Amino acid sequence: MRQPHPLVPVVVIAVVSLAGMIAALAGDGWRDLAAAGGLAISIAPIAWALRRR
Amino acid sequence: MKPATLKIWSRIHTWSSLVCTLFMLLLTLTGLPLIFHDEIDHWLAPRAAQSWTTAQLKPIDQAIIATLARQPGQVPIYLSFDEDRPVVNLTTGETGDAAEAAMRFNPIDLRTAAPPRGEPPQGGIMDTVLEFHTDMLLGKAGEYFLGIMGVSFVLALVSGVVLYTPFARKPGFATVRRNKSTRLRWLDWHNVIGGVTLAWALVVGLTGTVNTLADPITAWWRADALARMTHDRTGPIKAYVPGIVETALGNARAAVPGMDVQFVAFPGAAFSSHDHIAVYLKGATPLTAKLLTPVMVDARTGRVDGVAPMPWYMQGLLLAQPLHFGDYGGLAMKILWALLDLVTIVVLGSGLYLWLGKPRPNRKHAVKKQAMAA
Repeated sequence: MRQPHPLVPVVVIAVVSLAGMIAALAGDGWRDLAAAGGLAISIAPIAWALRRR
Repeated sequence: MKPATLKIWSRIHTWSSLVCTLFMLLLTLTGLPLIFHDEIDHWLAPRAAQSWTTAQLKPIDQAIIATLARQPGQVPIYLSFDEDRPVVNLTTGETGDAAEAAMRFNPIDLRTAAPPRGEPPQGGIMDTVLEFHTDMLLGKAGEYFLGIMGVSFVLALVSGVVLYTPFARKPGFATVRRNKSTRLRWLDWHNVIGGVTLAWALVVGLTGTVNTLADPITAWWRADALARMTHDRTGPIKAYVPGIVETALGNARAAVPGMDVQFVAFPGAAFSSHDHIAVYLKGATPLTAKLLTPVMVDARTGRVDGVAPMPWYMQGLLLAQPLHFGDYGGLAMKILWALLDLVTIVVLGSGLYLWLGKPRPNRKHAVKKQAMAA
C-alpha cells in the first residue's frame, strides 16, 4: 500500500486545530473541548517524536 | 521543484526568519506570562468575593462627578465595568482625545463613589510585560515595527512549509533521525515542530499583526462607518453633562434589549465621535459577547442617534485579540497555548542554530579561486 505524503498529517493537524480555535470563539462547553482537542493534536506528534528518541 | 526555485524559497525563508527571530523570541517570552495574566493578577493581588445590593450603589454620574472633582482639569474618556464587584473604571485625560499615554485610570467603588479601599497601585508587573509585548516600550513606532516583524514571521512560516515539502519524505512524519549528525537532528526537530504547530503559529502571527494595526483600523472605521452613522460634526468636543451617562445607558439598553453594557466612550475618544457618547453593548452568547454593538447617543440630550453592528474589519479586530492571547477557552486552552508558545521558542532557537552552524565555503579559498579564474 502506498504511504501518504508526510505533509498530509501536517495539513490535517492544521485544519483540525484551526477549526477548534474558531469553534471556541463561538461558545463554551463542547466548543472549548474541541479547541483543547485541536491544540492537543498539534502537541501530540512532538510528544510522540520525543518518545521515539 | 526546480533547484533555482528552491534556492529562492530558501533565501526567503532564511532572511524572513533572521529578520524576525530576535523579536519573536522576545514576543514568545513576554507572551508566556500574558496567557495567564488573569491568574497572575489574582495571585499578586488576591480579592475576596464581594456581595452587594443595587440599593447600596450610587448613580454612576455621581461617581464620575466625584472623581472629576478630585482631579480638576480632567475630562472623562472611557468608562468600563468590573464584573466581580460594583466598581466602574473611569479613564480620564486633559481632553477627550488625549493620547493613551496621557490618560489616567480611576477605579471607583459605586458604594462610596470613591476609589476602592486597598486597591493595588497601578502599573503592576503584568502591565509592564503587556506594554513590552505590545510595543517594546517604544510607543506607536515600536508597535508598527512589531507588526512588520509579524509579517516577516508569517512569511517565514509559509516559506518554511514550501521548503520542507520536497524533503518531507526523507525522515517521515514526526520522525527525528537519531542516528544522524546533531545538525540533522535539529533540522528534523525544527521541521517536525514547525509543521505540526503551523496553524497555531499562523493564527498568533496574523492576529498579532492585526492587533498592531488597531489604531489605523479604528481611525478608518471612525472616518467611514461611524461618521456615516452619526453624521459626525468636526466641531469642538462636547463637554460632559452631569447626569447624561445614566440617561445614555438607559436609552441604549432600551434601543437594543437583551444586551449588556461593555464600555462607554465619551465625546472625543477614539471609539466615539465629537458629540456622542458611544455605548458599546455585548450579546449574551460567547460569540456576540466579543462582537460589540455601538449605540451612538447624543452627548447633550441623551437621545439615541444610531445603532449599527460593527463592519467586518472592526469585527476582525475584536476577534483578533482573544485569538492572539488564547484566553477565551478556559484553563486547558491556556495551558496548551503556553506549551505551543514554548515549542515555538524551540523552533526559533533551532532555526538560529541551523543558520549559525551552516557549512559555508572558506572565504579565503573562494577569493583565491575567483582570482585564479580571473
